[in-house]
Amino acid sequence: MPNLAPPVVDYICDLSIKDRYPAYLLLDQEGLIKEWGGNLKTYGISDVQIGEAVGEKVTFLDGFFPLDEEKLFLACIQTDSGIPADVHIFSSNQDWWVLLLDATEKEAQRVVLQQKANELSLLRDKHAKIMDQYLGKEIAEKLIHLNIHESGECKFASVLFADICGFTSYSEQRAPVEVFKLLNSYLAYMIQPVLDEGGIVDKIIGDAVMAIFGVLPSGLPPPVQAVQAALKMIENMKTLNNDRQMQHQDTFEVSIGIASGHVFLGILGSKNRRTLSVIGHHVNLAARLEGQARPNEILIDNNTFKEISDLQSRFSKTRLVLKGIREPVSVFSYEVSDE
Amino acid sequence: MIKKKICMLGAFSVGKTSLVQRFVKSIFSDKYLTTVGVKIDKKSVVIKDKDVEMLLWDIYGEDEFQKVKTSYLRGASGYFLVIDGTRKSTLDTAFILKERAEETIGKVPFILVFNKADIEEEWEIESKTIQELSESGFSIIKTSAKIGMGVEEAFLMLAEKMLGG
Repeated sequence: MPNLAPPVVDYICDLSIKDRYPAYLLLDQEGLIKEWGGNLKTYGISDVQIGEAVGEKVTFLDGFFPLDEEKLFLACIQTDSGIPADVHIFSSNQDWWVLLLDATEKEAQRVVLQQKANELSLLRDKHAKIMDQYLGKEIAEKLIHLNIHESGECKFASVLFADICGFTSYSEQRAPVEVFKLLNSYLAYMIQPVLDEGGIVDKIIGDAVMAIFGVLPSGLPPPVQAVQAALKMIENMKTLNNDRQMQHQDTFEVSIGIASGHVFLGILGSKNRRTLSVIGHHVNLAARLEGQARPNEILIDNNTFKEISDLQSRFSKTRLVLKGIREPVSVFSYEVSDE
Repeated sequence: MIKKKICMLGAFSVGKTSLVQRFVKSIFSDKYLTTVGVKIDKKSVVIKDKDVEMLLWDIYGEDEFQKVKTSYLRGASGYFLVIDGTRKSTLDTAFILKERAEETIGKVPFILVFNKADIEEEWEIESKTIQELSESGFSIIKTSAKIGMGVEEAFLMLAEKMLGG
């Protein structure tokens, strides 16, 4: 105990019990009441009798005695009167003292803080879940650690566009519920290969998917990732179509365009709505290639072709006139047979 | 009258308070209100012709800032480990709490309660996981404090276990 003058000690004592309505019970080793005092009624404790088991009189102390600890602190316990109390239990001369202090104010303060903290935590989990849904868990986690400058940066990337052929006209003749169900089953088969190859699904526009490779760290060059994803996509569509054919349901093919080169990657939008975006010539080129691709065909540009050495043999060279580009361009095509 | 203390354990916002409120007062509120400290409720039930007074200790949820103090468990005859089916992490928290509970009060009856069954389509916890837990011998029940599904059954199930049924 520090050397404090009696008035200071008295002042500290007054301060610590001010507005806290102290009350106490003295119990023997077995928890039988020996003595009591203070504002017990505040806590809904009345008609106390010597020798009575404390658990019979005070609900929240039922089952606590005999105690095998020297002291115990239970914070903000709701007492029988409804008032929350801090309960201090400590031993002295083989007896137990139970001290009750009103915790109304303390509880009110803690509720505000804890409520806020928990709500924030739930919100954070919700956001993480949405990110996981849209990008895939692994990618969402990587993106959190990826520092993308708002002002944008130039990056070598491969852009993939994939579209379900003939879906728009098909959907016009169907109920929206049916269209969404069908679309979701097809999109799931198109998106998974992108995630598996380490790409990001940048946009889903109706029956079309735009994906970017080269944003997240990967051991493979972006063109290889993109072409592998495209091949898996077509394989997946075949599997889905086989299942649907067996059930006499309509089937669809996918057309894919891929272009690679330096693109601008950055955050676009306003204060309240931002999105990771990629812009540049190669984005437009990939969209144009997809527009020209036939069902089950992958069209890639020269930059992509140069980087996919092991897969080059599958592609054949051709020249195409693409919208917005004056000269015919050399592109490479891989058309998957129906077998 | 037999008195039995039952503790509600689990991560924050899994629905411990809602389960107690549904069981004791048949009410439910969609608004999330955090529990600070402990709220105690009572309900009397008849189990196998015996009057049982259940003292329900609704203990604050475990979160990243505060651990649940096991001193609150003293004298408990059983407990619920409440899990929010939509948050996988709450299952891990439940098992951490189970370990701590056993250190304090030993092996007493407990039930794994998978709450929020009214939105089962949003659950992160797969039915396979629940099936495996059930096959490993855990007592499991799916509840929804919101619609009242499984709530009464959960409390009666625990009461029976505590009475040695």
